[in-house]
Amino acid sequence: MRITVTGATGMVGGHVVRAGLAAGHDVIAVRRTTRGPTGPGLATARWVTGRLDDRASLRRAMEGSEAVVHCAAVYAYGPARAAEVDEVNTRGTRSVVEAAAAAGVRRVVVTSSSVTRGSSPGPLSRTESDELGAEPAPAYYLSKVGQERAALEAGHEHGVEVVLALPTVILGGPWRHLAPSNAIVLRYLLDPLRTTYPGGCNVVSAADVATGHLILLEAGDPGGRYLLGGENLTWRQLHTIVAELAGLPGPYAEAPAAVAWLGSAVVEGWARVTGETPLVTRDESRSVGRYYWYSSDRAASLGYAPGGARAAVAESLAWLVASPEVPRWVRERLRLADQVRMARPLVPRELP
Amino acid sequence: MLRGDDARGLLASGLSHELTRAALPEDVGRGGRALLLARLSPAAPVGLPVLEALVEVLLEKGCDDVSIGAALSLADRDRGHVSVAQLARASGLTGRTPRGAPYGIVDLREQTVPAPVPATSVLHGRRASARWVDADLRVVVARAATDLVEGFCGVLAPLGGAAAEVPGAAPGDVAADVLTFLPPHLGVIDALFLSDGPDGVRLPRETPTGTVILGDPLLAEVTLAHLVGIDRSSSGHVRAVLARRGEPGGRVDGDRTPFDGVQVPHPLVRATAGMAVAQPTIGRVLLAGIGGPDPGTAGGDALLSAARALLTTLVEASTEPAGRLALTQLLGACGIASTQLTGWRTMLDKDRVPRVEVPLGFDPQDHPVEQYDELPGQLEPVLRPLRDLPMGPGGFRWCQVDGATVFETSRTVRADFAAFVARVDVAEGISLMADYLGGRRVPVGNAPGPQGARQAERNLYLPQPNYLALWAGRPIDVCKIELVQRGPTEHRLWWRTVSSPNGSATHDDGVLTLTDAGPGLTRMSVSGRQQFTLPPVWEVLDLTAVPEVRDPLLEEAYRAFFTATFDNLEARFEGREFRIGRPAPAADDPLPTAGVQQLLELVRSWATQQPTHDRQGRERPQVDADGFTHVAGPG
Repeated sequence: MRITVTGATGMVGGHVVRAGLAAGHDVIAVRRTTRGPTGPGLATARWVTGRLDDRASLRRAMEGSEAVVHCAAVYAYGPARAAEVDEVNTRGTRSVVEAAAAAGVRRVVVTSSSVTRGSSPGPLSRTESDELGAEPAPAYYLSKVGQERAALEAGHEHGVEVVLALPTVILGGPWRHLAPSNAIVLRYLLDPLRTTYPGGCNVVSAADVATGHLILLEAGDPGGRYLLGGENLTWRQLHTIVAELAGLPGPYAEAPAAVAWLGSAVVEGWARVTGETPLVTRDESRSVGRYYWYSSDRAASLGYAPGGARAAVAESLAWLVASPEVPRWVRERLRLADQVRMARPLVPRELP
Repeated sequence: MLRGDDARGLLASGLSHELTRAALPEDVGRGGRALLLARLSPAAPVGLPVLEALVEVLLEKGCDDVSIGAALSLADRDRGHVSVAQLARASGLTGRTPRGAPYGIVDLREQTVPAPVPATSVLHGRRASARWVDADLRVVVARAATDLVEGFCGVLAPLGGAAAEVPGAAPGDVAADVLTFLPPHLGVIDALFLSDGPDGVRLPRETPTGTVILGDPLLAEVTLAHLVGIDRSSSGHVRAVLARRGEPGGRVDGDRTPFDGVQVPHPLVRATAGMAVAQPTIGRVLLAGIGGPDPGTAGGDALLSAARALLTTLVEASTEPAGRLALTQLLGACGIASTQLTGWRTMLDKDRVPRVEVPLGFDPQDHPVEQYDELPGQLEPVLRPLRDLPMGPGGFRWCQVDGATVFETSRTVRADFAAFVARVDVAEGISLMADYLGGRRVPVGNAPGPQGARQAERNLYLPQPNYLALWAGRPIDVCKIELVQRGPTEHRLWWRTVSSPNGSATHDDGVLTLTDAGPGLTRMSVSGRQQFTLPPVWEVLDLTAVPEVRDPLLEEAYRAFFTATFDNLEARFEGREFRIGRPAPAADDPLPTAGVQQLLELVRSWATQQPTHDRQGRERPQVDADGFTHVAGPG
């Protein structure tokens, strides 16, 4: 099958391209510019340029494809990027579906997010039939709700089968820009107090999410939502895994939501002084205390079988320690487990 | 060595003797070019009478072109000097002697050529003064002075001016290599008026001794040390040159009776000053802040001026016990700050430690090629005790043999062996290790096979474990002979330490192995024997008697070092930056106080800025310099 993948230089998009190539598909990978690296293991894909705000370029990229996997999105928290998040995630998705229709594509799998199914005050798993309720919802969550609505509406209007993939917290690599999901792991490495939080989340590896996308491409019900998760964990359980794999102590104290909010306000303030991107935002910290636990049974019924959280965290750590995000003085104090060392294939540099 | 009052007379007679003894190049007598490398830096430049007398005597001896050359050092710039021409003017040089003899004045760094030195030299790959390289007769001339840090100062310090500045190199190493590979024919120390006192180089005093020392520069320098009554090894320049060349040859003619009534810096002051200037930033500010402002300079920023007022007063007063106590306390405090800053950077901010440039530190030809080829056989029994040890946690095992640690550690990575060794040259292994500050690697002889190589290497690492830097732990500085072996499934680098220039290591011998560990896998391993010198405080503690404490500290130190080493090898394979440190301050780096001053001015300007509008957005009345309030008119 010929597949066009948007956001192919991103973490999920890159893995979808790899999984597609490995499955024998003819993959057209879309990126915004012609310059820059494509990512390890992606050289055999056919690379084209396309922008979400340029429908003609999208249509050209999709010509001759039978399906599209739309992974391009902005994943960020905080008011500074709220407008961009909404523009790209909602309007951009509509453009993709419309361009797919114009190019004669039969099916589009859209990467949404599990946050559109809301969260719970207690340790209960949510399913595709749940919805985002009255709980605190950062702009990113709302943009994803808008994205789903736009995708389904556009698909209905133009006769394109739209399947929604709802991954949970995606860990792994490689990435070009650190996303908030891997930042969860990074924050623990940088936190000298080894703090954890009440509540929990569901973590899954990027490679598993990519495999899930391909399953949905072939077997997902049109108009259907599929949660693509891994393992449900409390924050303490997740931080314990990070600590074990990184050879760090803790986690110790559990910071309540108010403390987390205060801490993120300080981080945001400092980032404003330094001009850097904050590692956590007040927006994001509003989710502390709730359980973002999900069931992937519906996708599992199609053959989706993700690995465990430990493997996902190991992948995240393996890519983090090779990135400039982890300062030298932090990296040198880690005692990474062998599982982390073997989680990442080294990427050879170009020889002169 | 000549004593008397008439500089010209002394030099005329002395030069005739020395030029004959020093095998003066034939060209000089037939119209050759002579270059006098002179120390013109205030506050103790070489005396004008000596320089002019030298010019006249050399012209009389047959030279048809005599020039006086100098170079501006980082220390000169820190004191506000901007050009050699300015230094020359301040020294009274006009281009013509009182008797009308002409001479040129040249900036030695204006015209440079690749330094004609071997690969073992710290100047290799750098540039040298074209005038110095091409001169038929090279003379280095300087005023005799005392020095707060070095104890005394003669003709070795100015030798660095013959080459481009080498940021990160010890001035003594540069001087030693100039003396070895681009040697002056003659050194002249002007001690007619010794600039003595606690820091005669920066705070001039004139004590008449009526002495000029001519001859081999090293012999002249150690003779000066004898005359002023200071241990010659207090000077880093002398130590470096002695280490390179050994005892100076020749004999000293003349009266060797030490000068009478000379004041030299107190050993305690020198010791604390040495501690303080060990950190380059602190050292630059301290040395720029003693004495001055020099004539013709602006005097520097306000912070430097404030530091100068305090430092100069204290240094001047250090001839008395009370003043010495105060200065020692200040320098001691700076020394502690210097050690702690170095320690902080060593542990937590390695990207800001200064990188170093060094010569090889030994002659690789001193070791026959058989010694290189026998390394595997020599090290095999050293590493044999490891065979019977179980592998510990994290793939590390070790034991103690004769006080040294014999160890082995490894890591397997997901990388194809052929791809790995194509990107990670095992011959570079030492420079890829953790905490590498700098060094030099030189090929030796013909390779023992198409896939092998012999090489000599010197390398410097941060103190190990890093926290020893807080106790003034020294960088590990070792000179090694090495053998590279490359096979189809294994690449190896063997090394054995032959010396440690700073005495930081007794043993640092081992082997780095890259092995094909199966499809898509490469194994990196290091085995070795190491024994490093601990700072005195730790030596006194003698942790070998308390294995419950020593063992976990030792294991953690090795784990940290080799984890970072393997990380570096991975980074090399992937093309990621991994080296620690940053280049040492270059010649045009501003004095750190200037940056602080700019920041303070920025803050002051921000703090004193009046808001132009109130909270409601209305324009505020503005008060001008004369106190009049200006308000916006209607409309």
